[in-house]
Amino acid sequence: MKEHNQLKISRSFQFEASAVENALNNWQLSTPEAYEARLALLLVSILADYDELVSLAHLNAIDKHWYQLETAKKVIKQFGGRAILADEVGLGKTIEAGIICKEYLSRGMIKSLLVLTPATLVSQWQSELAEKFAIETVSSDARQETIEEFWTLNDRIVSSITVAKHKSHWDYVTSREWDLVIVDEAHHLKNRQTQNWKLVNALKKRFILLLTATPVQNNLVELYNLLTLIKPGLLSTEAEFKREYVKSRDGRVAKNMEKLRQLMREVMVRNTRSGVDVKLPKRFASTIACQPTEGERELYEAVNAYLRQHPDELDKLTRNNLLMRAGSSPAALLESLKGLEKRFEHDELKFLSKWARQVKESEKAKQLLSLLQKAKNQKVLVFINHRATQAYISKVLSEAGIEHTEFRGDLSLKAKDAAIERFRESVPVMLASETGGEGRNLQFANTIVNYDLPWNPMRIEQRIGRLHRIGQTQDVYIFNFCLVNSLEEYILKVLHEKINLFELVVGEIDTILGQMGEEFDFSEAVVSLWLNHQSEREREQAFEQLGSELLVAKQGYAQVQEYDEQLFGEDFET
Amino acid sequence: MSRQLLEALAQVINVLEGVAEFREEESLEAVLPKSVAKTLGLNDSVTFTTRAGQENTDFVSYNAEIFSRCESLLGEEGSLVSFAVQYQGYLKQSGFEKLVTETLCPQNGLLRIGKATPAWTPYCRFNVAYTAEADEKRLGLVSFWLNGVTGVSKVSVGDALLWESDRIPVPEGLQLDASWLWQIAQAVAREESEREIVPWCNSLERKLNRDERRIRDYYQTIIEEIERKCQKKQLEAEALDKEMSRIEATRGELKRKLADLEQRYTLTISARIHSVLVVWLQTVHVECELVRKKEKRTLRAVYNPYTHIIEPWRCEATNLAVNQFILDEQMRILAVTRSG
Repeated sequence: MKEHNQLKISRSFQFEASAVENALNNWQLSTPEAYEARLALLLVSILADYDELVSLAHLNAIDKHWYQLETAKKVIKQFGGRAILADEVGLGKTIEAGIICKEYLSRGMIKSLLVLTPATLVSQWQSELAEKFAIETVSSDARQETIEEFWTLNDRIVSSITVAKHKSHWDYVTSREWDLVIVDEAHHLKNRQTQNWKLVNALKKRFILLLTATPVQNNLVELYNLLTLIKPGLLSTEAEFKREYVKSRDGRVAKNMEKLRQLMREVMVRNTRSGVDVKLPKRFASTIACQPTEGERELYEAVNAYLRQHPDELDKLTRNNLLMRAGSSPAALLESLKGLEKRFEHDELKFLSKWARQVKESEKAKQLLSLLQKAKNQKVLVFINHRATQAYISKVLSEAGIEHTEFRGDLSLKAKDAAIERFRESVPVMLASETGGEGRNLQFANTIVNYDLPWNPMRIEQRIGRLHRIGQTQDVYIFNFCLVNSLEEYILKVLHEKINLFELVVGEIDTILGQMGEEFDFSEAVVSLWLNHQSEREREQAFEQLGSELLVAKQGYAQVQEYDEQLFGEDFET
Repeated sequence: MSRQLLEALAQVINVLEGVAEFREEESLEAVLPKSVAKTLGLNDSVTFTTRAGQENTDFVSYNAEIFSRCESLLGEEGSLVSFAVQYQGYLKQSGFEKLVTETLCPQNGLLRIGKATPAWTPYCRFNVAYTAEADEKRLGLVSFWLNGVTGVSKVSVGDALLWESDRIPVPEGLQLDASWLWQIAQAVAREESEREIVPWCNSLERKLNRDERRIRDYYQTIIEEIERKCQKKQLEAEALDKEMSRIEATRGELKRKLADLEQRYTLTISARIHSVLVVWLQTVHVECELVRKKEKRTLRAVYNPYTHIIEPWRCEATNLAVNQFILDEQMRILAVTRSG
């Protein structure tokens, strides 16, 4: 292949004559008020042109990257607020959509907002909009009013697309007007025959953003369907589109690509990691499987036996909580058992509580201690879900002379700041609860210990994302703790050994799990496999099967990614 | 944020000797002088609002015509403003030797410290509006402080502007070297506005290279096809000449396309110094003598009591702030990195 030298854009710079020079030479002074007024007018004229985002100064809870700001400007200024945001995974499509939404709200250009997402992402969207953009919404998950009231009285709604398209909701959603509609995972709109597509098509909307990392999964007609939602008529009729742009019978090979790209450039932004020059250091993950003491093992098994004995009495939340705590520490388990004793008259509970009190030593704690003693000169962030476990670990570390700080969700803002400051400046270890340092700058640390492993892979990813983000200069090390033969060990086998979660790009697991079907819930799947299969062999088989299905989903995702890369490349960058 | 629009209007109206008051968050009541009302095409008494659809009000948005009319009404008013700030603390006049020699270090000469005296230093805030244009147009504003004695840009005035009550009229007899500062300000303005659009320039450059590659590949394929045809059909004489001239024409077309492309991605930036604020601060000027071989040069170092620092000097070739520097044959101060 012939190599070309990289071309540089030619540029010219000139100064326009300015009355200020004259004023300065002749010392013609104005009043400070006139100066301020003059400056205020200039700012208005800059903002009017969307060259500056007026909401920018108020977005303090996000890392703002240049390409995200450029995307927001482009969508507002050039695309008129109707666009497909198709950035590669991990570059922050949600953030881009949030900035655009905030900008429209700040300029008073929109009042009503509808976010449609897969059911599993409703709460995540709601909290991100609130925490990162100060945009309060109501969600279909927590609807208290009648369906009619819900859709007519609320102006800002996050809803699962499954709920919105339901026949009891349909008329209300489609009969009102929406200023801005955001559809996440918009590849679910690829087929025009589906209710998903028909719903979004039927919405009365002024601005619309479709978010997907994989706009085309199987054939080019999917692209036609998406673009038709954004700009009806842009690609004429489907038959015309096929005649003009589709070459192969299976609809995967395009023709007149340059013309098609030209049209797509009017509605689509697709930033790629190589294009925006995002370079992240490497990630290394290892599992530390701790052989439990005899007491720990028996206690864990007894808790499992108890759960199997009362499968219908305990709700899912209680069941999962108990199982997680059993994997965390006897102290955390004891707290939960005490609560259960008040709710149920099960004889086993008293016995389990007594047992939990007797188990004094934790193998996981010992292993953590030994890891921290080895990790000299490293800043280590230890995630612990349960307060009792955190208190216990804090005591163990103090006794071993390891200086540390604690970060919990219930601390005051000031105490949280102080904890992070101490971690940054003086101590090597921070024990953090799930919310540890969300939205805070922790890139100075480079080691994560998942002392308690979340069962939801997206949570794991969020944790990693705290450290492994733009701005991190060192390689990141992840240590996942679990007890041998615990549910967590099986989860790790699936996530780490099968699909290599810990080395995926942040955001990819979302897409992979999405390929498992709209209703698939990883946490639910693993806990039910765990409880329904008792022998080690059965469990091995069941989790192996799940792992294989995830692997197929991952491979499917990789193929789609490759296809999209081939179709779009770096042509749609901001 | 819509308040920003109304606040800008209120500021202008007050300067034009009208009266403007907020009635509520999104609504501003104003009484305008007759001439102003006429130019703006409004009644003397008017209510501006950022909420659409309100009766008996004038709706204002970012793109409202009224802002450009206000700009014409202001004319050159507000281009230059100046005041001094009274320093409320004690201004020391001795003991600067250590501070100065630790801050300003010539690498190939000597620095002798002389007398320290309280003196006014002008700090100028330049606001520069720029328009950058390539495949789209972008407007922007860069602002920076410039020390009127050292010529160093992007300095800080600390909390000098915190208390409005400390502001006083500029004392008689103070002067600044306007044309010297103007030159430096233009150079800094250029650097700063170019810095602001770096991501956009990079993106343009990537697009340029992508399009260039595509065009080149396209025409190269045509040329290769013609060449293949010549070989396959073993063309000779007139037929071959005809194909050769087709190749030549294709090359010409490629050249034209590339020139068009370059033109499309050419970036022009025009900038205008929009306004300047000159704040005179009470500082201490320390007399310094730079000595290299037999040459000597007298200079002032500035101690700023608001930031508690001796301010850096300016590299006279690059305008960069320098603490460690070298002296050239003409005793000019140059940044160390420049010499390497």
